[in-house]
Amino acid sequence: MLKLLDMSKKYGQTTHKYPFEPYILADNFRGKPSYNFDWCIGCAACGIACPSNAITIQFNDNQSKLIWEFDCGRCIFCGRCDEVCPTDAIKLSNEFELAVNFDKSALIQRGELETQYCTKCNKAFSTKRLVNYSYECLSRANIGEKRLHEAKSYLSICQTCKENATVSNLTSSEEMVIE
Amino acid sequence: MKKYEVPQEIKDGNTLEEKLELLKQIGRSFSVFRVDCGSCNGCEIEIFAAISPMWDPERFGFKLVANPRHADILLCTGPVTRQMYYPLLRAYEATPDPKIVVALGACGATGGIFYDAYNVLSGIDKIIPVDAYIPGCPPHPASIIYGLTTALGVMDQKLQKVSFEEEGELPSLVKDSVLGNILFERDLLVKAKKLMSYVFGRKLFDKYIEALLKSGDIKNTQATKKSITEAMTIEEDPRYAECMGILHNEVYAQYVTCDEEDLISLHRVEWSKKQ
Amino acid sequence: MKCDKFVEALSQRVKVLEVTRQYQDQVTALVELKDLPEAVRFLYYDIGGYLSTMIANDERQMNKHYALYYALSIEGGKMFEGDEIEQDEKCFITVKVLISPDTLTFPSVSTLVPAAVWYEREAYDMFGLKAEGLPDKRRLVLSDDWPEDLFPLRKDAMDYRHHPDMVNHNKEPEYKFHKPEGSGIIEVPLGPLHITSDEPGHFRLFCDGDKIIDADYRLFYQHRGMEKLAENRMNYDQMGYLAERVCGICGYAHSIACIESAEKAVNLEVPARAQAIRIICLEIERLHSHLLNIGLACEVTGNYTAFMHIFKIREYSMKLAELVTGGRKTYGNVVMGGLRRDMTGNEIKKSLEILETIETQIIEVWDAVMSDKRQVKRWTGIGILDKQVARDFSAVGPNARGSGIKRDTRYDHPYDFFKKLEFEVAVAHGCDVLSRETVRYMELKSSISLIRQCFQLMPQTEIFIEPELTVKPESYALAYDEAPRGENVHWIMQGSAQKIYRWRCRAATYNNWPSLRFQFKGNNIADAALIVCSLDPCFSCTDRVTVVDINSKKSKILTNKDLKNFSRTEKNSPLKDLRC
Repeated sequence: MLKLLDMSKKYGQTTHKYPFEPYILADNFRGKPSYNFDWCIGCAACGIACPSNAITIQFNDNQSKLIWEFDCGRCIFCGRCDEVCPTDAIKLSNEFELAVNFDKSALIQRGELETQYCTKCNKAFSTKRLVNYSYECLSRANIGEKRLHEAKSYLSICQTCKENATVSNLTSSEEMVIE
Repeated sequence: MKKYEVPQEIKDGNTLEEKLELLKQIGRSFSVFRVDCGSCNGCEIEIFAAISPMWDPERFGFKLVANPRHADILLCTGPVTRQMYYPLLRAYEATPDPKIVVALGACGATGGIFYDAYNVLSGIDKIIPVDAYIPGCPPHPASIIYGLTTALGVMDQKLQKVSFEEEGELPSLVKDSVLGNILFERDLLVKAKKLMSYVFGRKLFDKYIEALLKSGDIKNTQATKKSITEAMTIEEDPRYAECMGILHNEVYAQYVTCDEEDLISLHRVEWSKKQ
Repeated sequence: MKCDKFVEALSQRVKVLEVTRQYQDQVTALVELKDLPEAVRFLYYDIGGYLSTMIANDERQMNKHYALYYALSIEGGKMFEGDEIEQDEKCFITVKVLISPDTLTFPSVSTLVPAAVWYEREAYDMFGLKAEGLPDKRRLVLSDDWPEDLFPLRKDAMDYRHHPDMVNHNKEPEYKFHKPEGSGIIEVPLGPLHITSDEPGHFRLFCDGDKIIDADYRLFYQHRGMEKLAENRMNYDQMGYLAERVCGICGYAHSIACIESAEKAVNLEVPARAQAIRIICLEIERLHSHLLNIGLACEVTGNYTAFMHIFKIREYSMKLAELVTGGRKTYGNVVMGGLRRDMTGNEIKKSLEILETIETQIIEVWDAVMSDKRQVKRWTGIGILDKQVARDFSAVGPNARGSGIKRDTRYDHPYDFFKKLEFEVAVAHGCDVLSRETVRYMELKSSISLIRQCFQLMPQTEIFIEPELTVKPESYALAYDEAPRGENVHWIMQGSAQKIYRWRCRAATYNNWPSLRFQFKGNNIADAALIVCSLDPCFSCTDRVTVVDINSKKSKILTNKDLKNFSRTEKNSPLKDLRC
C-alpha cells in the first residue's frame, strides 16, 4: 500500500489541462472530415466507399442539381472517403470538438453541384465539373488531336446512349481507323 | 412499428424553460447515470477513460451515480437493440424531471454503421427526446469532456450547419505534367500509395517530384539520378529515402529509357549512415 | 501434407464421404448425418482437439440442403505434460454434414461433447435447425418478444431491414431460468442495466445463505444483426470496419481475423511489412485490454489507488495507438491485400520511447500490488475453474491458461509474422483469480518484447498489394488470431458480386461463458463481481440487485454501493435482515 503512495508522489499531477488549454493530438489523427467545395467534382467515389452511408449523393427533386450531403452523426471516422477522393476535396482534419446541443441539423454539411444533361437524350446523369475534369486530364495525356476532339463529345453522353452508340458503330459494317 | 409515446406528465416536466433552469441550478455539481443500449462498449470504455485522473471531470463537478433516481443527466450509448429497449424506457421513466439526455457516439446519435439492421431501432432519438449529441466512433475523452461542458454552457458549440449552394469561380484542378504526360504522375502516385499507404504516399509523391525538378532537366537520366540520390542522402527518415529510390527505378524508368547504370542502387550502406 | 494423418484415422472410425482442402492447414471432411456425434467426439477426445466454432449455413441455393460445419483445432488434449501434438502437425479439421430442409433435425453433439451446447442453441434461433437430444432447448440469441417462426439468417426469411413489432414496455416477456431444487434457496437477479461482459447481461444467482450453489444467465442483449447486415450491404473493403465494431476492446482482432479469412479463401499472400505491422497493432490492443482488466480486478476488491495508477499507464498505451494508427480504439487500417496505413521512421522512434515508459511503470505497479498482502488474499482461491471443466467446455485465453492448459493461438497455429518471432506462452497452475491475473501480467511483458522484435525485424516491402484475383463463389476458409481474451475464429464463405455469402464471427468469450456457472459454485456472493471480472468480459460493475427470498417473500433493493461495499469490506452483509 505504501508503495502505491510513493508512486503517487513520484509522478505528481498528471491531469491534462484541457479544456482550459488546447489539447494537442498526434499527427494524422482521424478527426472530422473537412470538405472543400471548390475541389469537389461530384464523382460519388466517397459515397460508394463510406461503410455507414454517412455521405449521400443524389439528385434533387427537379434534377437540376446533384446534392452532396454529409452527416457527421453517422460518420465512423474511418478515412475511406479521404483515401478514394481523386481531387483531395475531402480530407480528415484533426477536429474533435464536435458536440451539438438540441438541434441535430448542425451536424450536416451540404454542397450543390450543377447537373450535366446528356446531349442525346437530355437525361441528368452527371455533373458539369466531372465532365470538365475528365476532359482536362485527357488533354494532358498525350492522346492525339482527333481522339481529344472525339472525347469532347462522348464525355457528355449518358451511359445508355453510349452503349447504344457503341453497338450501332460495331454493327454498321463500316471501316474505321483507330489511332 | 409501434413507437413509444412519451407520457404527458413527463412532457410537461421537461419543457425547454425547465431544462435551462435545471442547467443553471446544477451548474457545478451534476450526477450522471450511464445507460448502455447495446453498444459495442467502445464508448463505455472511453467514458471510463474520461473519468480517469488524466482527464478528471470531477473538476467540473461530474459524479457518476448508480441509480437513475438520483441522476440529472442520462448518458446513453449504443443503437437501441430490441432487448435494451425495455430497460432504457424503465430508466427514462425513473429519472426525475426535468432531465437531460445526452446521446454519445455515432451509434447513439443516428444508429451509426448499424442503422438499418433488423435488431436495431437506430438511434436514441427515435425512442426518447435527446438534448445533446456527441459524435465519434468512439469519441475521444477530450470530446466527451467538451460535450459535457458545452451542454452545461461552460463552452460554446463550434459546429454549425454548412451548405454551399452556388458554384463560384473554380480553380483549375489538373496541373500540367512535369514530363509532358500526365500518366507518369498517375503511375507515380499509385506506386507511392502502394509503398507507403495513402497517408504518407502523398507526401512521398511531393518529395519525389520536388527532387526531380531540382535536377534541371527531367529527361536527362544522369542529372535526375544525381539529384534523387542527393535527396535520399539528406532525407532524415530512412523509409522515405528508400521509397524514393524504388519509385525512381520502377516508374521513372518506364517513361524515360534508362541504362543499367542510371538506376539507383538501393544497397543499405549508401544512405543508412544518417540513422 | 498437414491433416492427412488425422483424416485417415477418422475414416477408419466413420465413413468419410468427401475431403476438401481450403488452405495448407485446413481440411473439411463430409460425413453422414448419423455419424456426426461420433466423428466430433473422436476428434475431440481420442485424437485431442478443442472445438473452435460451429457454423450453420443455408445452402439451399447451392445444393438444396442446410449445412453444419464443426471446426476443431487439433492440438492435443494438453491435460498433462507430453499430451500435445507435434508443432508442425497442428491443424484445423472441419466436420461437415448436410441436413435436408424437410426434416430440419440433426443428432446433437452436446451429449458427447458439452462444448457444443451454445452453438446448437444458436443454430435453432437463427435457422430453425433442431438438435435431437439437446439438453437445453431455450432461446439463446434473439429477444423474447421475437416472433416464433421467423428465422433471420435464412436466405428467404426476411429483408435485413425488417423490424417486427415491439410490445408495450410494461408487458415485457419473462425468460425461463433454470432453478435448482430445494427450499431455503435465495435467488439474486443482477439485471441488465449494468455491464458485466461484452454485453449487458442478466444473471440469476441461486444462493444458500451466502454461498452460491448455481447460476443461470441470459445474455445477448447486444445482438445487432451484423451477420445479416454483412451479407447484404457490405463489400470486402467495408467488412473490416463492421467487424471492428463487434467489440469495444478486442475489435481489431476481429477485423484482422475477418479479412484474413477472406484472404485465405483465395490463397492471397500479404506482404511481409503489412504482416509485421498487423502484429504490432494486435499487441498494442493486448496491452490496453489487459491493463483495463487488471485495473478493474483491483477496483472491485476495493483498491482504488491501484486502479487509478493502472488507468494512468493505460493512457500511454492509448497514446501509442493514436500515434501508430490515428485512432484510440478503432484502428481501421485493415484492407484486403495488406494495410492502408504505414509507419515511418519518425513514428518508430516515438513508439519506442513510449514503450520504455510503459514498461517501467507496469513493473512498478505490479510490484506494489503484489506486496499488498490483503489484496493477494482477496484474489486467492476464488472462482476456481477446474481443469477438466475447462477441457470439456473448450475454454480459451487467460481463463484456460490460468488453469494450467497451454493453449495459445500464437503458439499452436502461428499466423502472419509469428513464424519469425520468439515468444513464451504464459501459464499458471492455480486455477483461481490470482493465477489469471498473473498470466495477464506476464502477457503484458511479452507483448512489449514482441513489439520491439517487430520493430527490429521490420521488412522493407510494399504495404499492400492489389488483390488481382478472381473471387471464387462458394469457397470458404477459417481465420484465427489471439485476441486479448482468447482465440478469435472467423469463417467466411464467398458469394458472387463482391459480397459474402455467409460470415460467422465467433468471439473469444463465447467459449468461456458456459463454464462460468461452474466457477460460481461454492463462492460467496461478495465474490460474484470479482469472478465475472476475472473472466474478462468488458466490465464487472453490478448495478441494480434485487434480492428475493422465495420462502418468506420479502424483498429488498440493494444498490451498487451496497454490493460493492460488501465486496470490498466483507462486513455487514446486506442480506442479514432477510433471512429471519
